[in-house]
Amino acid sequence: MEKSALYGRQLCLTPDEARDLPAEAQKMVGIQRNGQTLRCNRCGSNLTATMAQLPNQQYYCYQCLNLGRVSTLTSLYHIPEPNEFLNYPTCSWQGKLTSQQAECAERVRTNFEQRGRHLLWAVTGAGKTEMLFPGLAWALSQGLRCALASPRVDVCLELAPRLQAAFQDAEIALLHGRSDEPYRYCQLTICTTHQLLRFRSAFDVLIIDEVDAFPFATNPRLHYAVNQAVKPNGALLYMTATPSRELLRQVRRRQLSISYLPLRFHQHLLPTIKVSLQPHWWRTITRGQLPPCLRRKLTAYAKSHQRFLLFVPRVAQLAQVKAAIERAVPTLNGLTVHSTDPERLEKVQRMRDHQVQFLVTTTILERGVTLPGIDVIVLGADDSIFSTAALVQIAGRVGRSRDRPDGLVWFLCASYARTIKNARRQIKLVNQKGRRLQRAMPIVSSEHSS
Amino acid sequence: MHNYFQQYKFRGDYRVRAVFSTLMQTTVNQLAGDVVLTIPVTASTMVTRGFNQVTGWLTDGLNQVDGLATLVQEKGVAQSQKARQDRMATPQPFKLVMGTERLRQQRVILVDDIYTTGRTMRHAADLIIENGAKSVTGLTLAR
Ligand SMILES: [Zn+2]
Repeated sequence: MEKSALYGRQLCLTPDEARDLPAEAQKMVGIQRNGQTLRCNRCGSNLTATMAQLPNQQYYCYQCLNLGRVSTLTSLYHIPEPNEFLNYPTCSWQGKLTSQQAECAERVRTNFEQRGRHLLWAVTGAGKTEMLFPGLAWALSQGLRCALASPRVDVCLELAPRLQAAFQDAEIALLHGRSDEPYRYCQLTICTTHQLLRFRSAFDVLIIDEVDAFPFATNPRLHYAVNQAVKPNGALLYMTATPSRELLRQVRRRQLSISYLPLRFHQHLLPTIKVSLQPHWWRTITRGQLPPCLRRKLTAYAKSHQRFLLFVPRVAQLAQVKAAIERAVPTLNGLTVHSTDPERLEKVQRMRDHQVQFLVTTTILERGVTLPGIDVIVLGADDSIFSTAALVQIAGRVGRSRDRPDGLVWFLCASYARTIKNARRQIKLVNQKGRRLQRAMPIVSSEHSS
Repeated sequence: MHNYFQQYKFRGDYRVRAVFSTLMQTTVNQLAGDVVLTIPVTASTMVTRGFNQVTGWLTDGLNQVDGLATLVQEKGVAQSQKARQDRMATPQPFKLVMGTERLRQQRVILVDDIYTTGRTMRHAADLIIENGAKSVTGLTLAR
């Protein structure tokens, strides 16, 4: 094994696999036994002895199994991060930031320099990735090791080519559970937050994108992983469009500094949510019909050729909803798609290519998919499957184009659920900040030009 | 079933032995043998995985199996890593570690996880009969 494969890592190896390791490799026990308590040294979980037991008084961690089993039969191996990079990559991005983006980018960069903990609250479609470039360019030029992690594989897959295009001479390691590529030691890493469990004090700069996406928000091990993977004196940046209460609490306690970007890249506000109470929408669909208000809207779409996404709570409802649409408005041409659909990527591509006018889908398209100029309708928006964050994200699919910066976000629901109220409140709050910024804009830009 | 074995044997999640332990223990007890033997895993598997998946089903639970013992495997290569052709041609891989008096005129239940070619079972059964057992009944969870 190459020495560099252990730089800033904590690899779980059996004694047999660890035989030929370089001499510098530090060995740590995999499971810490402390009297009655057992703790996994990779993911930090406290383990219940009866669940963790193997024969012959051995124990294993059942919490981080899918990264390879940590047990009393294995050890963790580590070499402290030496920042051994030969050529520091430079930023080749030619684009231009708006004045608000530039201001946020500057905050991000300062945070990296000061090794702070920062939250960047930017609305969906604000151009978050581009705002990272100045800070990353600085960090890479200083020889710092940087990582961008997201709870979602598709976000990682989308980010990798954009970062590669912006830093053309950078070697980027892309790590996620579905990849077969061997690990490479690179100055810049893009990975899922799960993969951070394999790092220890590795990164001078660690960025967590979409911090409020499942499974990160609900998984304490991933929070532990973030704190393990960043160097003790490293910089941490959280980015989100829908901060959780926990993050905002940390802001109030001044454990996190915060900056806002309440306007989208085209300087417009987030579209507001229209809500219609339709207690029997599902029963109507099961009879093969559409609620009258929905039928009217879709008939209008058939004439105007306006494209739209229609969200439903469950995969099992997709076919019936599509059938009811086809029956009511036969000239509309659309597809159904869900997260485990084997043709998912092809279908989304057909929507992108304007080959179909609509998609009926479950939550999977909520993040990271940009379809300019669309409208969004959510059936059963009060279903518990849609969290507040998911609803804000769904609303954020609308108005992603300079040519059509607004659009319809329409929730049909049986009740006015707390999640819907909170989503509307979040959008209202961001738009208040946005409006203030719009009013102040001439001043902001003159400050920047001076 | 594939996913189950993936989780149990390859990821090494010993907890999921509980999924089939009652079924396996009840079945073994219904077969009413005198001795229950499990197909072994190699010594190196014992070091890395830390358990025998078959013994895992039978050792703790409500219907615990009496008279449980394990054969010993001499060769180092795990069965699942061999092509079917190789497996058919392999010589006797097992060795008896118990005294033959425990087998003489006994009805033996022989337990394994997956039945593929039947070669493993046949080798083990041959060895048991050669050492004086009256009968051998094979039981596997999956085929
Ligand atoms: Zn663990």
